[in-house]
Amino acid sequence: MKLSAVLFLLLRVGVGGLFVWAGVSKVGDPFRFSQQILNYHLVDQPVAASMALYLPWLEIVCGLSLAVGRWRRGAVAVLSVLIVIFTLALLSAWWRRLDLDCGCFAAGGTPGSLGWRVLQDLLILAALVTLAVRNRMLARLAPPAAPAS
Amino acid sequence: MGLRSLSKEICLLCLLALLPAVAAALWHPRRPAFVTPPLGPGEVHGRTARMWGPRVLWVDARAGREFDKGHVRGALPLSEDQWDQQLKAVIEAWDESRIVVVYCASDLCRSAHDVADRLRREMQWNDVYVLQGGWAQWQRMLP
Repeated sequence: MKLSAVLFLLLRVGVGGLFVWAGVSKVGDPFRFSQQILNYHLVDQPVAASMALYLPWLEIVCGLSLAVGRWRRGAVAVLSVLIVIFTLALLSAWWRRLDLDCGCFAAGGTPGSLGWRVLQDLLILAALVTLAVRNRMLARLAPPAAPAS
Repeated sequence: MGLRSLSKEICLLCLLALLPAVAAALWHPRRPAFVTPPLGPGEVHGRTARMWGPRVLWVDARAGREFDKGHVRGALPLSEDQWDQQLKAVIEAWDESRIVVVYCASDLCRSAHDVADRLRREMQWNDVYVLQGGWAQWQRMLP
C-alpha cells in the first residue's frame, strides 16, 4: 500500500470519526442542542427542534459512512454542505458579536472563541475537499464496468 | 459513477439518519418542543434571560426549603412569607442597570408573578420579569 493511500485512509477515518464524535456528543441531549441553535437567532423553535433531532444523527451516519468507506462520495458531499452551513452560522454570530456556546460539540462550550471554531471548520472543510478530489481521481482510474452480456 | 449515483448515496444517507431522528422526536426523554408556549404578561423566556447575562438579578420566589435544595446561580430568595426579612438583600443587589427575573417552581405556581407584581408596585422597578416555566424549565436548559 502506498504512503499516500495510507495517509488518505487516515484522513478519511479521522474526519469520519470526528463527525461521529460530534454527533454522539449531541445526540444524548437534543433539548440542549436546540437551545444552542436558538442562541444563534437564525431560526425559530420548530426549525431548531427539527435540526437538534436530525443533525446529530446525520453527522453520525455520514461520519460512519465516510470512516468505513461505504457511500463515501455521498458522505463527503453531505458533510461538506453541513460544515459550510455551520461555518456561515458561526461567522454570522461572530459578526453580530454574539457570546454563545457554538454547539459544535456538546462538551465544547467555549464562549468567546468563535473565531477559533471558524478556523477549525475551515480546516475540516479543506480535509473534506481533499477527500472529494481523491474520490474523483479514484473513480477516474477505476476500470470501466464490463458491459452486461 | 455519475451524478445519479451520488444523488442516490446522499438520499440513502439522509433517510438512514431520519429514522433514529424520528424515534428521538417521539421518545427521547430530553426531546425539544416544536412549539414554544406563548409568553404570558410580564414573562420572559429562559433563553432571553440567559442572553442578558450578568445584568440579571435573579430572585427566587419559592419557599426557603426549595431554595436550599437548588437555585439559579447568584439568585436571592424573596418570598411573600418572608418579604420584610429578605427584601433588604434584594434592594442592596439592585441598581438601575439590573433586570430582575423572578421565578418559582414551574408554570403551575403563582408566587413568581405575585413577587414580581409587588416589586413593580412597591419598588417602582420597571424591568421586572417572570421566568417562563420557572425553575423546572431552567433546569432542563442546564447542561
